[in-house]
Amino acid sequence: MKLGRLNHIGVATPSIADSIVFYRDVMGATKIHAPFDLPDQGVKVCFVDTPASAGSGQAESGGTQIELIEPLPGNTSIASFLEKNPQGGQHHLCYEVPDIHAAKAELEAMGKRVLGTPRIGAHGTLIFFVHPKDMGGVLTEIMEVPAESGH
Amino acid sequence: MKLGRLNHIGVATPLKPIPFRGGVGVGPVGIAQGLRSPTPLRLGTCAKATAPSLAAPPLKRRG
Repeated sequence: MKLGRLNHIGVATPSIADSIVFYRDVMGATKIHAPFDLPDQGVKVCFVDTPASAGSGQAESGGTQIELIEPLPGNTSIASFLEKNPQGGQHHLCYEVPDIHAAKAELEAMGKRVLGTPRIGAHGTLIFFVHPKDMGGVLTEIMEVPAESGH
Repeated sequence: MKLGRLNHIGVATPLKPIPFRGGVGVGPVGIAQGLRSPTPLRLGTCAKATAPSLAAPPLKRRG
């Protein structure tokens, strides 16, 4: 597999509303997308843009995003993460690949445990997760490159 | 403060010594002492960071 662009960092939070205030008022984020539900995955998500280039200070498209993740009622995975980390915290890293099925096959051939089958993720493209115990301790999301400019 | 570019993500990893000539392990101490590796050691690149030189100092000729 060839390492693709770091699309986003998943950050679990008990409250997206509170996290938006934090990223806006403390971190100075200027582009925060509208939160939306991903019922299939049992989460509400919200993307915060970071600038694509150093020193620009502008949240132009192309920069790595921060994906705020809040569990919806009935969610177990994010909820259990928040039980261990009540304030929330870094949950996963997401890399882009040009072909999701090829990436899955390559990772599985290397003995990496792919969690579930490719499914539509928050960007509307196919994604899958790889078990952190096979990825240096980091829960890793692999996503097919979005059709538009990176997001 | 204004949110800047995400420069990097720190990922902790257990440090496993790489055998050096003479059996000296690599790591922060080894790098600080300027020890020489038999194979090139790739360090992460960062525009503002300066990696310590791993090259051995030139030999001094006597006489």
